[in-house]
Amino acid sequence: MVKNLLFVCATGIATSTAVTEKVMEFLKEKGVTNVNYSQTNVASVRSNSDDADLIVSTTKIPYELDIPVINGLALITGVGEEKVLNSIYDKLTEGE
Amino acid sequence: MNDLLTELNNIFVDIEVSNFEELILLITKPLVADGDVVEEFAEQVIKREENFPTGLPTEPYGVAIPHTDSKFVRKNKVTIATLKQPIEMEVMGGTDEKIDVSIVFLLALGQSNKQLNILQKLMGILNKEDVLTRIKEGSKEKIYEITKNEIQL
Repeated sequence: MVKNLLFVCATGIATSTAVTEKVMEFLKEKGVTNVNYSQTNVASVRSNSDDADLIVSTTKIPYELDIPVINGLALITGVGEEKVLNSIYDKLTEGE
Repeated sequence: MNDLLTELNNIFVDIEVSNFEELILLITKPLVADGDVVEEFAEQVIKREENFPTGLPTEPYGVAIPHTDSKFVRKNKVTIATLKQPIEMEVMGGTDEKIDVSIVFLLALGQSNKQLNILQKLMGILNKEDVLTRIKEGSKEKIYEITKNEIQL
Protein backbone atom coordinates (compact mmCIF):
# COMPACT_ATOMS: atom_id res chain seq x y z
CA MET A 1 0.00 0.00 0.00
CA VAL A 2 1.28 3.44 -0.86
CA LYS A 3 1.82 5.66 2.15
CA ASN A 4 1.64 9.43 2.12
CA LEU A 5 4.23 11.40 4.00
CA LEU A 6 3.70 15.08 4.69
CA PHE A 7 6.60 17.39 5.53
CA VAL A 8 5.74 20.49 7.48
CA CYS A 9 7.82 23.55 8.29
CA ALA A 10 7.08 27.11 9.28
CA THR A 11 7.01 28.81 5.90
CA GLY A 12 8.34 26.27 3.46
CA ILE A 13 11.37 28.34 2.59
CA ALA A 14 14.29 26.76 4.37
CA THR A 15 13.81 23.55 6.27
CA SER A 16 11.21 21.50 4.45
CA THR A 17 13.17 20.81 1.29
CA ALA A 18 16.31 19.87 3.17
CA VAL A 19 14.43 17.55 5.52
CA THR A 20 12.42 16.01 2.70
CA GLU A 21 15.51 15.12 0.73
CA LYS A 22 17.20 13.58 3.72
CA VAL A 23 14.22 11.40 4.63
CA MET A 24 13.41 10.31 1.08
CA GLU A 25 17.05 9.42 0.47
CA PHE A 26 17.07 7.31 3.64
CA LEU A 27 13.85 5.53 2.71
CA LYS A 28 15.21 4.77 -0.74
CA GLU A 29 18.32 3.23 0.78
CA LYS A 30 16.12 1.13 3.00
CA GLY A 31 14.22 -0.08 -0.04
CA VAL A 32 10.99 1.73 0.86
CA THR A 33 9.69 3.04 -2.44
CA ASN A 34 5.94 3.01 -1.95
CA VAL A 35 5.89 6.44 -0.37
CA ASN A 36 4.49 9.62 -1.81
CA TYR A 37 5.37 12.88 -0.19
CA SER A 38 4.33 16.48 -0.19
CA GLN A 39 5.43 19.62 1.62
CA THR A 40 3.37 22.29 3.26
CA ASN A 41 3.68 25.18 5.65
CA VAL A 42 2.22 24.96 9.10
CA ALA A 43 -0.67 27.28 8.32
CA SER A 44 -1.93 24.89 5.65
CA VAL A 45 -1.50 21.59 7.48
CA ARG A 46 -5.16 21.11 8.24
CA SER A 47 -6.25 21.50 4.64
CA ASN A 48 -3.35 19.49 3.22
CA SER A 49 -3.22 16.56 5.60
CA ASP A 50 -6.39 14.67 4.67
CA ASP A 51 -4.69 11.69 3.07
CA ALA A 52 -1.41 11.84 5.00
CA ASP A 53 -0.34 8.75 6.97
CA LEU A 54 2.51 10.43 8.76
CA ILE A 55 3.71 13.99 9.33
CA VAL A 56 7.33 15.00 9.83
CA SER A 57 7.45 18.53 11.17
CA THR A 58 10.18 20.95 12.20
CA THR A 59 7.71 23.31 13.75
CA LYS A 60 4.97 23.05 16.32
CA ILE A 61 1.59 22.14 14.90
CA PRO A 62 -0.77 24.22 17.03
CA TYR A 63 -3.70 21.80 17.08
CA GLU A 64 -4.47 18.12 17.46
CA LEU A 65 -4.41 15.91 14.40
CA ASP A 66 -5.41 12.26 14.04
CA ILE A 67 -2.22 11.63 12.09
CA PRO A 68 0.99 10.75 13.93
CA VAL A 69 3.56 13.57 13.97
CA ILE A 70 7.30 13.05 14.22
CA ASN A 71 9.53 15.96 15.25
CA GLY A 72 12.11 16.51 12.50
CA LEU A 73 14.47 18.75 14.46
CA ALA A 74 17.15 16.06 14.69
CA LEU A 75 17.23 15.90 10.90
CA ILE A 76 18.41 19.51 10.84
CA THR A 77 21.06 19.23 13.53
CA GLY A 78 22.14 15.70 12.73
CA VAL A 79 22.17 15.01 16.46
CA GLY A 80 20.09 11.87 17.08
CA GLU A 81 19.24 11.70 13.41
CA GLU A 82 19.37 7.89 13.04
CA LYS A 83 16.77 7.45 15.73
CA VAL A 84 14.32 9.80 14.03
CA LEU A 85 14.92 8.28 10.59
CA ASN A 86 14.32 4.83 12.01
CA SER A 87 11.10 5.86 13.70
CA ILE A 88 9.87 7.30 10.38
CA TYR A 89 10.77 3.98 8.77
CA ASP A 90 8.99 2.03 11.49
CA LYS A 91 5.82 4.10 11.21
CA LEU A 92 5.69 3.76 7.45
CA THR A 93 6.26 0.01 7.44
CA GLU A 94 3.97 -0.70 10.38
CA GLY A 95 1.58 -3.58 9.76
CA GLU A 96 3.24 -4.72 6.55
CA MET B 1 32.61 37.14 -7.71
CA ASN B 2 29.06 38.37 -7.28
CA ASP B 3 27.82 35.08 -6.01
CA LEU B 4 29.56 34.92 -2.67
CA LEU B 5 26.99 33.99 -0.07
CA THR B 6 29.10 35.22 2.79
CA GLU B 7 31.46 38.16 2.43
CA LEU B 8 33.85 39.43 5.06
CA ASN B 9 31.45 42.16 6.11
CA ASN B 10 28.80 39.51 6.77
CA ILE B 11 30.93 37.94 9.49
CA PHE B 12 30.69 39.25 13.06
CA VAL B 13 33.12 37.94 15.64
CA ASP B 14 32.69 37.90 19.40
CA ILE B 15 29.96 40.48 19.42
CA GLU B 16 28.37 41.64 22.64
CA VAL B 17 24.58 41.75 22.55
CA SER B 18 22.07 41.13 25.28
CA ASN B 19 19.18 39.74 23.23
CA PHE B 20 18.05 38.49 19.85
CA GLU B 21 16.57 41.77 18.70
CA GLU B 22 19.77 43.66 19.37
CA LEU B 23 21.72 40.97 17.57
CA ILE B 24 19.56 41.06 14.43
CA LEU B 25 19.51 44.85 14.22
CA LEU B 26 23.30 44.84 14.32
CA ILE B 27 24.11 42.05 11.91
CA THR B 28 21.55 43.01 9.25
CA LYS B 29 23.23 46.39 8.70
CA PRO B 30 25.55 45.23 5.88
CA LEU B 31 22.66 43.37 4.23
CA VAL B 32 20.56 46.52 4.13
CA ALA B 33 23.52 48.68 3.07
CA ASP B 34 24.39 46.32 0.21
CA GLY B 35 20.76 46.06 -0.90
CA ASP B 36 20.63 42.32 -0.27
CA VAL B 37 17.41 42.65 1.70
CA VAL B 38 14.58 45.15 2.00
CA GLU B 39 14.49 47.63 4.87
CA GLU B 40 12.01 45.68 6.97
CA PHE B 41 13.97 42.43 6.81
CA ALA B 42 15.30 42.73 10.37
CA GLU B 43 11.86 43.45 11.77
CA GLN B 44 10.44 40.44 9.90
CA VAL B 45 13.18 38.11 11.13
CA ILE B 46 12.52 39.20 14.72
CA LYS B 47 8.78 38.70 14.30
CA ARG B 48 9.14 35.29 12.74
CA GLU B 49 11.48 34.09 15.46
CA GLU B 50 8.76 34.75 18.04
CA ASN B 51 6.36 32.41 16.28
CA PHE B 52 8.82 29.96 14.78
CA PRO B 53 11.97 29.77 16.86
CA THR B 54 15.18 28.57 15.19
CA GLY B 55 17.48 27.58 18.04
CA LEU B 56 19.26 24.29 17.43
CA PRO B 57 20.59 22.20 20.32
CA THR B 58 24.00 21.47 18.81
CA GLU B 59 27.21 20.63 20.66
CA PRO B 60 29.42 22.08 22.01
CA TYR B 61 27.76 25.40 21.09
CA GLY B 62 24.10 26.11 20.47
CA VAL B 63 23.34 27.46 17.00
CA ALA B 64 20.43 29.49 15.64
CA ILE B 65 19.41 29.85 12.00
CA PRO B 66 17.01 32.83 11.93
CA HIS B 67 15.37 33.60 8.60
CA THR B 68 12.17 34.93 7.14
CA ASP B 69 10.00 34.86 4.07
CA SER B 70 11.82 35.08 0.74
CA LYS B 71 9.83 38.14 -0.29
CA PHE B 72 11.99 40.29 1.97
CA VAL B 73 15.19 39.10 0.31
CA ARG B 74 16.72 40.40 -2.89
CA LYS B 75 19.91 38.36 -2.89
CA ASN B 76 20.88 35.18 -1.05
CA LYS B 77 23.29 35.89 1.79
CA VAL B 78 24.42 34.05 4.87
CA THR B 79 25.52 36.22 7.79
CA ILE B 80 27.57 34.57 10.51
CA ALA B 81 27.92 35.86 14.06
CA THR B 82 29.73 34.50 17.09
CA LEU B 83 28.63 35.84 20.45
CA LYS B 84 30.88 36.74 23.33
CA GLN B 85 28.14 35.82 25.80
CA PRO B 86 25.46 33.40 24.61
CA ILE B 87 21.87 34.57 24.32
CA GLU B 88 18.91 32.46 25.33
CA MET B 89 16.73 31.31 22.45
CA GLU B 90 13.89 28.87 21.96
CA VAL B 91 14.50 25.58 20.22
CA MET B 92 13.01 24.99 16.78
CA GLY B 93 9.95 22.78 16.83
CA GLY B 94 8.02 24.61 19.50
CA THR B 95 8.75 22.48 22.52
CA ASP B 96 9.28 25.72 24.49
CA GLU B 97 12.71 24.44 25.42
CA LYS B 98 15.38 27.13 25.68
CA ILE B 99 19.07 26.89 24.87
CA ASP B 100 22.15 29.10 24.98
CA VAL B 101 23.09 30.20 21.47
CA SER B 102 26.67 31.21 20.69
CA ILE B 103 26.78 30.92 16.89
CA VAL B 104 24.20 32.47 14.58
CA PHE B 105 23.73 31.85 10.88
CA LEU B 106 21.30 34.48 9.65
CA LEU B 107 19.85 33.23 6.39
CA ALA B 108 18.69 35.74 3.84
CA LEU B 109 17.17 33.35 1.35
CA GLY B 110 15.23 34.24 -1.76
CA GLN B 111 13.21 31.82 -3.83
CA SER B 112 16.30 30.91 -5.80
CA ASN B 113 18.00 29.36 -2.80
CA LYS B 114 16.41 25.98 -3.36
CA GLN B 115 18.82 24.98 -6.10
CA LEU B 116 21.73 26.11 -3.97
CA ASN B 117 20.65 24.07 -0.98
CA ILE B 118 22.12 26.59 1.40
CA LEU B 119 20.50 25.08 4.45
CA GLN B 120 21.61 21.61 3.44
CA LYS B 121 25.19 22.82 3.27
CA LEU B 122 24.91 24.28 6.74
CA MET B 123 23.31 21.11 8.05
CA GLY B 124 26.44 19.30 7.00
CA ILE B 125 28.47 20.98 9.75
CA LEU B 126 25.92 21.28 12.54
CA ASN B 127 26.87 17.92 14.02
CA LYS B 128 30.60 18.49 13.61
CA GLU B 129 31.80 19.65 16.99
CA ASP B 130 35.27 20.52 15.74
CA VAL B 131 33.95 22.80 12.99
CA LEU B 132 31.57 24.59 15.37
CA THR B 133 34.42 25.03 17.82
CA ARG B 134 36.71 26.48 15.17
CA ILE B 135 33.98 28.89 14.11
CA LYS B 136 33.31 29.95 17.69
CA GLU B 137 36.98 30.52 18.38
CA GLY B 138 37.94 31.78 14.94
CA SER B 139 38.88 35.21 13.66
CA LYS B 140 36.89 36.82 10.88
CA GLU B 141 39.37 35.54 8.29
CA LYS B 142 39.36 32.05 9.75
CA ILE B 143 35.57 31.89 9.70
CA TYR B 144 35.58 33.15 6.13
CA GLU B 145 37.98 30.38 5.19
CA ILE B 146 35.76 27.77 6.87
CA THR B 147 32.65 29.03 5.07
CA LYS B 148 34.40 28.75 1.72
CA ASN B 149 36.33 25.53 2.17
CA GLU B 150 34.19 23.49 4.53
CA ILE B 151 30.65 24.75 4.19
CA GLN B 152 31.12 25.77 0.56
CA LEU B 153 28.97 28.84 0.82
